[in-house]
Amino acid sequence: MSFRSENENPNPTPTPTPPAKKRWSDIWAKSKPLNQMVMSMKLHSLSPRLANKAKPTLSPFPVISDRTLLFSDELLLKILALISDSAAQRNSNSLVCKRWLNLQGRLVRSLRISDWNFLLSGRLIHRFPNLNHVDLLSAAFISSRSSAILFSHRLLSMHLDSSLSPNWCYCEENMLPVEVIDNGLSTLAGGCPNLRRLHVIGASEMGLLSVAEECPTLQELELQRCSDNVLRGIAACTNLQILKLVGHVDGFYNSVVSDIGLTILAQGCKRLVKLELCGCEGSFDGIKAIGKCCLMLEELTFSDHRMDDGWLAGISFCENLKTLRFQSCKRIDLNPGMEDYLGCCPALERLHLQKCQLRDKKGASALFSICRAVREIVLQDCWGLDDSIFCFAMLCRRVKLFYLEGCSLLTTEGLESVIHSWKELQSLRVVSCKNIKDYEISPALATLFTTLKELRWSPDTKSLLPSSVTGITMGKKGGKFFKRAR
Amino acid sequence: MQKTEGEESKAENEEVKQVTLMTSDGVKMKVEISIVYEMEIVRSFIEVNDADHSVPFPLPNVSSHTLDLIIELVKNEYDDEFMKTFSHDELKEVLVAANYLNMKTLLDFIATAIANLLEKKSVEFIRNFFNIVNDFTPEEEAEIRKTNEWVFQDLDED
Repeated sequence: MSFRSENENPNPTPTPTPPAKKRWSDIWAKSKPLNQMVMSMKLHSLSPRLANKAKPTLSPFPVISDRTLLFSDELLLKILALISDSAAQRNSNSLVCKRWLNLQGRLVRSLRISDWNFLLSGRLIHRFPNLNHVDLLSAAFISSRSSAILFSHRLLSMHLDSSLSPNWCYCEENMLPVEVIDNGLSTLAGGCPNLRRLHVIGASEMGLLSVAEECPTLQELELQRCSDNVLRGIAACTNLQILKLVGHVDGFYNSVVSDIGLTILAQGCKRLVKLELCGCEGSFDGIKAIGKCCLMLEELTFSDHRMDDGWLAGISFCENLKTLRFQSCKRIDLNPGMEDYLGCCPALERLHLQKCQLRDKKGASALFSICRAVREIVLQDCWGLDDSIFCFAMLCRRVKLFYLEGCSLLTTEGLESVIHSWKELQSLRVVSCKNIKDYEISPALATLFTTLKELRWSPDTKSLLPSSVTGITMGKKGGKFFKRAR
Repeated sequence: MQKTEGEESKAENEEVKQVTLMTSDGVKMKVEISIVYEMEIVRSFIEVNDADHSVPFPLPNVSSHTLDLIIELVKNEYDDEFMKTFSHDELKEVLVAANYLNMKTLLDFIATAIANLLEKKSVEFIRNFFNIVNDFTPEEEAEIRKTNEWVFQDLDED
């Protein structure tokens, strides 16, 4: 028996029933944007009442309602964020009302504190719940704000009482005790889970551990008055990328970071990218450990270093180092060892020396030898740099950029002999070097200038090239600066 | 603004579709659908429910004057000069309405304009502008001023 399909309804789908007339109340109950509408309508009906509550003595005239009560926090935050450019504006906004104080505080991400109690009492976290960058350096001092004496250093400053006796180790007496600092750190860590950058002085390894445990996103840390013991807490900061350790600051404090601390650091913070060591001791072993363990280290800065002689060769173990900086160093390395054992930093691109004493030939020669691969050399305000020291820079064959400033012993002849050996030189800046005279520029040097892409030549303030040097005119920089002498 | 049945259905068949909105003061306004689509709150309803466009959509929180201003602003592609002619009250009402109607572009535009007005203004000015009540006690206010001045400073992001 066969079925005749056309007589049957092949698809047993029910025919759609005509849509029931939709009721507003059904739709409102289910629709999300409509729920928002209802919420704001309710708030709207509340607002006159709220305004009334605040001022019970109002006349029976209709109250002008506070329209901001209809705004969500997100909307008010949007407006606040647009007018929060200056600190003065932010402080002013925070005084409008309690809600604005709260919202304004939520927008602040970075802050410097000068009162430790503000942190300890919890008021800091309460008012600024979204901090990710905190500077606690000035808060750690018991200093009298009313004092007009400001004792300052590049790294920190404090107000002094005129009754203090000059023992030149001011931090010893005027800093908060370690326990108080650790407590503060623990409070901060508990309230700032997103902390990324922190500057602190006088902490112990316990304080550091509490931060490390509760702030896994900590990337940048400055530890002043640091010692080997404090560094024991550092291994717990697994995401640390930028670190500045300050051990000794003349006139302020005298703390020791030695090879022990450097080795602990090396083993704990393998993700370090930038490291700055100020007033730290140590030797070849400590630097070698850092070089071998911190494989991502790209930038290394030494400030007023107190390392033992023979340490410089340790730098060649930093295989990925790109930038090497020396600031305010009284010496580089008085006994660097034999050249054969110095090694070289293969990836190094930049060498910067600022405010250093470069009087020692052995140290200079060793430094330039290790840095022979650099593309960029900057020498600023270096004392003792004369022609005999500078000639070691010829060891660096690949220099493309050279900035020289404030080195008053160097002569034109000394400069020229090195520059001619830099076949790849493209950018040259010579500023405020009073022994470099314009009239001493040889034709060969002038010709070299024409090949440069960038030239800034002002060794003295007048910096006018005399007409006796033929074929040269002052004008634009680079290739158009000098015409070839006929 | 009201039309007869016949005209309404003819309007729907024309090129420019319109939606009827009912404002808080009982005025029915016909608005081009392109403008209505910027109002997320109306748009999502229309798209989901395919409602009969002749039935006015209620906006109990938006007055006809405010809706007029909004329509003009959107039609003139957020003209700054036009907005400068608004009074403070009109600015606030448009902000509230844009927030309520969930019109993102308009909201950004008005928020920026209001922020520019409030920039560098004193606490009193801001309070007066929004009619915000100061809920600090004198002691609390003094404490905050002291804290602002002495206890913390800005930190530059380098």
